[in-house]
Parts: sequence; structure tokens; C-alpha cells
Amino acid sequence: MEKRLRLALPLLILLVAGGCTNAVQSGRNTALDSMDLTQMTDQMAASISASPKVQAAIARTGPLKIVVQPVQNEMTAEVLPRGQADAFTGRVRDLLSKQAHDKFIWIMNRDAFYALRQRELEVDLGPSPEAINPDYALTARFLTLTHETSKMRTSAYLCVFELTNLNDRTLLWSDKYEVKKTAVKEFLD
Amino acid sequence: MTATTQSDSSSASLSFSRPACRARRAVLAKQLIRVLSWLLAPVSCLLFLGCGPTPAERQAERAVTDYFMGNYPSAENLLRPLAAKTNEDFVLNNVRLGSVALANYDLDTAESAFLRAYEVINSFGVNNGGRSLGAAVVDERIKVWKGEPYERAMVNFYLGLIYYMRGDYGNARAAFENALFKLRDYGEETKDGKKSTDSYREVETNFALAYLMLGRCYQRLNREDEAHKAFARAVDLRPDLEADADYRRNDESNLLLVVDFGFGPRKTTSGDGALVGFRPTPREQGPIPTPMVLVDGQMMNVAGVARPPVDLLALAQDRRWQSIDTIRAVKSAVGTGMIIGGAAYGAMEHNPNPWVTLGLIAGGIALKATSQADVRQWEMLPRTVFLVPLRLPPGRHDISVQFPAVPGLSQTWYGLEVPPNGEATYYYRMLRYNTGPFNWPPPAMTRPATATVQ
Repeated sequence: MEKRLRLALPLLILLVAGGCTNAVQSGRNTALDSMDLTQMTDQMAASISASPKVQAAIARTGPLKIVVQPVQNEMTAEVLPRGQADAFTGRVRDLLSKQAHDKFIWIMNRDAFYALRQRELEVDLGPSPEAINPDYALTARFLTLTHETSKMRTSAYLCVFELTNLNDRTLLWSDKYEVKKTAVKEFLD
Repeated sequence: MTATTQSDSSSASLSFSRPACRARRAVLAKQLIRVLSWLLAPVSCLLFLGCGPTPAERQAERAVTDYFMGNYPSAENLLRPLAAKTNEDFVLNNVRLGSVALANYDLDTAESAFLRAYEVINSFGVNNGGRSLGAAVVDERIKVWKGEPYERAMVNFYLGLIYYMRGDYGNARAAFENALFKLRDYGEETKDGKKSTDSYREVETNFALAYLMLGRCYQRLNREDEAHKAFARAVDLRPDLEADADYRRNDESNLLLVVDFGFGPRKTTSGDGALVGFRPTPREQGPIPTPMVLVDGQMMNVAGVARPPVDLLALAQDRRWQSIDTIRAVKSAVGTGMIIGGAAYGAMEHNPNPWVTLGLIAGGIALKATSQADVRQWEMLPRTVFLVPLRLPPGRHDISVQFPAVPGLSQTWYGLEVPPNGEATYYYRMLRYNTGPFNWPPPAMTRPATATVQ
């Protein structure tokens, strides 16, 4: 019995001390993660490139001049900070820039452009006459149905990406990414 | 003579069993002592080592004191390194830092601090493995602190408030919705698994604050239907908030004052430290006084709207019994039993083995010592948050918030900006040693990339 204890006790201490993860290591939640970011943006970039309507527009007018907007958060009880909101549309732009660099011209977001201009040039130069106006806007809206009880939390995501013609408001391309996430509460949650 | 004979004969009849019994007892006692010594040695070490606050805890205490004295920059400097450590106090130190930074109008720091806390609070299984075992067996403070449901709700509220101040109404709305979700832990389900809407309604009644802010967010997101629904829910829960939830008043306001008043509940232990409670109760503390608002020296009529939409003292009283509470209570009861048993054994046994007595008593003390409740809490929380929507001419204004019922409690800001379009939101943390007057913008706001006025 004593021998067993001598073995069991260090094991218990090791389990308590060694098994302790830090506060950000072992939690699971229902937020979109890096896997979703990769899958979703890969899917969207491929979908835009393959879209017959997009191909036709490029053939008709040449490279599409597109401005990218951050994701609009329309999710229930899920916060999407600015950096993450930029990442979802920013990665689509990045992928398309690499895959089809001759088909798209990426225009900087107007507010970001003037903020950058003001910050870097230290004087407010007013509107820039050389600035190219975009013809299309790549936007994304994230929606969820979220439910939380004392036992679990579930979020069903619908992430809609759209390429809208800014001149005539027609929708050139649209696609969606859906995922459902569940996190079960445990002891001490 | 007869008696002696009888006694002798009885001794003779037991002469075979008594030494054997004693030997067996001695072996058992030895084993018990060894078991206890093996168990107690590390526990005692942990207890002795764990006694008294650590340097980090002392640093956090100093920061909390600085906060209540209105010395926000110092408190922020003390908390910043603590909030970066991903230990069991990670969430606690981040919400402390968030409170300090918000009062200091350092909105970047406040946002990132509350966001870090939000992410861990929203995650489940944070305490898996060693931490759960350690919290149950050794000390509850080993667990990663995530706060009581009312504290979690307030993390979401402040995160939402920061987004609201910055004009990010989509994220503000999401955070206020999440604040309401966090209160579901208070009593959504009964023992038989059925939903108890009554208990949840009672909790919601004490947190109409989130519905008021939700309504304002929806208004600014041009979602009239949802805004009406949120305000209607607030009035449904709290009919006295009719003026606060007035659609037109909220829609037309171009200035929102968010006023934190009083002190939140204090987590206390009862009896031998194993049971948790919250003091004071709303009854002990008395009613919440009404604020008075002066704009450029003129008293504003805010009697209708300056009602407390939340009472954290009341909300804290709804604390749900948790599994860890049962574990602590059982450990404490068994510990008491072992101490009494050890003492009784020593007192009543003819030839007691002193090691057994000592072992039982020491084991009992160790169990009781490890059954102490975790009383870590977010000290900066107010008792209530007043929302005062105002319609003022655009430009700069000197605005004071006073509580006539609390002598000396006021705060004044000079030159608060009211924009020609949109809305400005200002946060007042009412503290006796933080009356001002302060000039707008505060030093933390003059750094680039921070603004509250839309």
C-alpha cells in the first residue's frame, strides 16, 4: 500500500502541476478560428476566380478595380474586433493578388487612404485627384444564430461575401460559408 | 475475591486476542500515519507556501488602491505587466486593467484588456486537467478566474461600451447581447432540467442596462424594429425605466453620459471559509441615490431618466450553487469530522495511539485548510451604471455630475465636445477622491488613434 502511495502521490502532484495549462491554452469557444479563416477565404478566392460573371466582366472591361471593406458584424453575441474583421476580406484579396494578379486592381479603402495620407504627410492635402476610383466593392457580412444555456453554447454561422458594382449597384458575384460550432461547458466553467 | 477471580478469568480468556488485536491496531495505525504523512506533506507545503499574498497580488492590491484614489496612470502601470501573464489571474488582471484604462480614457488599452478577458470567459474547458483537479483537491485559487456571472456580464457590458464610444455599433450590440447570455448561468434551468423563466426574468430585471444599450445600438444601426423590441423589453422588465427607454429621447440625444456609481458586491466567506456569499445586500446598503447633472452651470432635468438600470448588489445575491461549492462543503465537513474524531479517540480510548490522534487532527486541519473558498473578485465594479441621454447644442460644454445625497461625491469635466452630427459618449467613474475638474481631452486621449466623438 505504501509503495502504491509513493507512486501515486508524485503522479498526483505531477498531474496537478504539470497538467496545468495557462489561461489561453486549453479553452474552446464558438468563435471563428484560424481554420475557418483559411477554409473560408480559400473557398471565396477560388469562387471569385472561377465565376463566369467575373470572368466576363474582366474580358469586357479589363482588370476589375476593387475596394475591400472589413467584415460587417451582424452576429448575435459574437464580437469581431477590427483586426479580425479586416483579416477575412484581406486574405481573399491577398489570395487573388497572388493567383490572378493581372485580373484585379486593388484599391485602398478611402478612409484608410486619407488617414494614412494625413498621418504620413503630416498635412491634410484634401482629396487626391490622382486617386483611382474603384468600380467594385468586396464586402462580407457575418451572421449567426447563437444560443447559450448553462450547459453549452452553439453558434450557427452564415458568412456572405459579395462583389458589388459601385456604379449600378448590381451584384456581380456572391458566395457563402456556413459552419456550426458548439462548445460544451465543463466543470468550473 | 469472586470479582478478582472473574477479572482474572476474563483476562485469561482474552490473553490470546488482546496482544494480537493491539499488534493489528499498531500496524493499522502505522499505515494510517504513513498514508496521512504522504498526503499531508505536500498539502502542508502548499499551504505554508501559499500563505500570504504573493508579490503579484500585492502589486494588484496597490493598483486597486490607486484606482480608488483616482490615480489611474499609476494603476495602469502596475496592472499592465500583471495582465500580460497568462496565469490563473489572467482574466482578473485584465478586467482590472480594463476598468482603470476606461476611467483613464485610454480606450485602446481598455478594449484590448476587456477583449482578452472576453475571449477566455467565452471559452470552455479553460481549467481542464491539472487545474480542475488542483482546484478541487488543493486550493480553489489554482483555477483560472473567470468571475461570477454578474462579473462576466459586466466584462461584456464594458467591452460593448468601449465599442459604442468608438461608434462600432455592430460589435457594441454583440457585446451587450453576450452580456445577457452570461446571466443565463444564474438560473435558467431548474433541478428537473426544465427551464425556469421566472428566475431568469428576475435576473434580467436587474440587468435592464443591457437592453437599454442594445436599443441605442440598434437605433444607430438603423434597425428600428429591433430597437423598439429592446426598449420594450427593458420597460417590460422594469416599468420605472419608461423614460430611459423612450425611443425618441434616445434617438434624438447627441450626448450620452455613462455614470458608474458606488461599489459592487464584496465576495465573503461564511462560517469556516468554505461557503461563499456576497455583501452587502441591497437592503443593507440602502436605496441608490439619484444623480444631478449640470451643463454649463445649469441644472438639467434628468429626474425621469436617471434611474439605476442595474443593481449589482441584487444581481450577486442570485449566485447559483456550483459543483466546486459542494466539494468544498464536503471537504470542510469531513475535516471537521476528522478533527472531532481524532480528539474523541485521544480522549476516550484507554491507550490511544498518539499518532492516530495527531494524524486525524492534522488531516482534518489540512482538509479544512484546502476547503477555503476562492474570494478573488473584480473590485472596481460599481453598484450601478446610470445612462443619461441628453440633447445639447453642438460645441463644448462643462458638465458636472453630482449626487446630493452623498456629500462630496461629484465629478466635473470642462470642454466636453458635443458633435454637430452623431453622438458623443462620456464615461464618469464617481469616486470621492476623483472629483476633478478635468479638462477635455484627457492626456490619454491626446495620443494618436484614439477618439470617442463620432
